[in-house]
Order: sequence, then C-alpha cells, then structure tokens
Amino acid sequence: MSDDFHLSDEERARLERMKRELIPPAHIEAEAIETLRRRGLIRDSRPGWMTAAILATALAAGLVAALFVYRQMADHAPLNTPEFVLLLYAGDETGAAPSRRDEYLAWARSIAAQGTTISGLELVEPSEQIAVLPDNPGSATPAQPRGFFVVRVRDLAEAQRIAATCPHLRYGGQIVLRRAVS
Amino acid sequence: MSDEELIRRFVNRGDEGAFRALYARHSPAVYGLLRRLAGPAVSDADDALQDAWLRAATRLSSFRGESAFRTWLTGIALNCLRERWRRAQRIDERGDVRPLETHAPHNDHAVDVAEVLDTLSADHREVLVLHDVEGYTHEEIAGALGIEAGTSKSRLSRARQLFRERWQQAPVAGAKS
Repeated sequence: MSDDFHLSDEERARLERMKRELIPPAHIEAEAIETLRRRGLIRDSRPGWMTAAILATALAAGLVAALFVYRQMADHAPLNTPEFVLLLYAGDETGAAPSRRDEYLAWARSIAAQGTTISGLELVEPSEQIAVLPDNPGSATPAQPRGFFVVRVRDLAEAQRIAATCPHLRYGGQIVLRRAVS
Repeated sequence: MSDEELIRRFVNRGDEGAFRALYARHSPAVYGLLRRLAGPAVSDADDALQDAWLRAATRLSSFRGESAFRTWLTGIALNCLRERWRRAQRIDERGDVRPLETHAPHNDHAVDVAEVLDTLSADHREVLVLHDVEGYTHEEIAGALGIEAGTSKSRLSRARQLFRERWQQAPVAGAKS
C-alpha cells in the first residue's frame, strides 16, 4: 500500500478544527496530588522548624495564628476546600467563536497556574439539544446557562474575585455563583 | 519557569507547586487528545489522564529530555488509555471492519468528524489524530507509541483512506458539505 495517501484541503481543515484543549475535571488533579503525597513524592515544602514555629505561634496567639495555619493548610488540602460553581449566563449575544473559547481557556489556565483548582464545560446552544423534565406544555423553560466553571476556593469572596476576572463579563454575560454542598 | 526547572523542583524537593504548574500547563492539551481518542467513554479519558500523571511523576527522575516533556507525557497517557481499553477488551470491539452503518445511535442526526473517527480502529485513530489533528511528526508519533516511524506513515495512509471512505458513507448528506 502507498504510504502517501493525501487528504483534500477541506478534509485536512476539518480534522485540524478538532484540535481543542480541554480543562480536565478538578477532581483529577486533586486526587493525583493526594496520591502523590501518600506515596511521598510530594512533600510539605515548609521546613520542620517552620511548621513547629507556626504551631507554636498558633497556640500562643490563638485565633489569628490559627487562621494563618488554616490558610496554609488550605493551599495543600484542596479536597477540604469548598467548591463554588460559576454559572455563566449569556447576555444578548449568542454563539462562541473559537477565539472566544481560547480566551476562556487561557483565563482558566491562568487561574489554575495561580494554584486554584478549576474545571469547566461549555454547553451547546439551548436551541440545539435541550430536554426539560417534566415537559409541561405552557410552563416557562428556566433560564439556561451557557456553561460553567467549578473552582475550589476558601470562600465566596475569593470565588467572586475570580469570577470578576472572567472574560464572560466582557461579552455582556452574567455569572451566578453557587456553593456546592460538600 | 521552564518545564526543566519545574521538573527539577518536583524531583528534588517534592514541590507541590511545581507539580501543579506542570499539570496546569500540559493537562488541557493531553486531556483534549484523550477525549478525542476516547470518544464517548469520557471516564476512560479521565482515568487515563490521572494514571498518566501518577506514572509520569514516578518516572520524572529518569526523564532525560530527549523529547519535549509534553510529547513524553502524551506517550504515557496514550499507553494508559490503551491499557484501559485492553482491560475492558475494547480494542477488539473497535475492529477496523466495523461499518459506520452499525452506529445506530448516529443515524438520526448529522454525523460529525469525531463520530467518523470513532469508527476507526484504535491504531488508525491514534495516528490520524496525532498527525493530522495534533500536528505531531512521524518521529514523535513513533516515540510516543513505541512504533517505527515507517509504521506510523503506513498507518496514517490507511487511516486517511478509511476516514475518507467512512466520511463519504456517512448517512447524512449534510455531513459532506
């Protein structure tokens, strides 16, 4: 058989358009880190004396120091940190160009690069595939989110700070934040 | 910070931040690839990504940098996905001879490229996606899959042929527009 079967320009373009990066679900990273920690491949970066000092300070200074320790631990214990869902509702515009997807992806990656666990999905146009159960004729269809991100952060204020930087707002969209039941 | 520096920090100090940075930098591309290859079996892609990072973390101390880190990681991820398929005996089910028409669930809507790719055998789909979607060279594919570059070339040629045939056989006329 010949080793040089060529596709047409259109076929090649169709395949190339499939290339898309996807943010994996947040639990994958969290579980991998927990496993690596158990195996001793990820170690607490603080020297022993620093941990001892923090604990001593916490005992001595009470709540303020204890909060500091909590904040340090939270950075290393993502599974114990609450999850907030950022529900993205569209403004007047519809559709999402590839460049806009790239922009959202770059934003999510920048959040992840800062150490925040984040995942998300874009949903198809409600006009394409939507099912509402029960299907009561005459009842109004609830507002449809266009996608969502899930971030693992300490509190609502931090989730709000992150949401405020989301490019979705620049496109006239609205973001609703909800805390997930832990 | 470069991949090399992050790897050094992870290997030498067990630095969680370095691991997270590597994960954030490379996971979206690798996960996108795994999802394309896994098709509707999303959990296979999820599990393969996690397996790949765990395996990569264990082997990072022996990573010599002969290839780019992402190529190396991709090779591990592909192996993890194949092992999952093998365990589930899905390789055999994804036989090269399975005609598109047996895809009953696909007959009622426009067939897209992903669905046509899913009709190819794992070997053909991998090479076609790596080369024509991801832009890997035959040498890189050979390194990632543990095959000869010549094998990659011949598989690609056959995979393209099958892709065209099955695209043209797709039951919905709009798919060929």
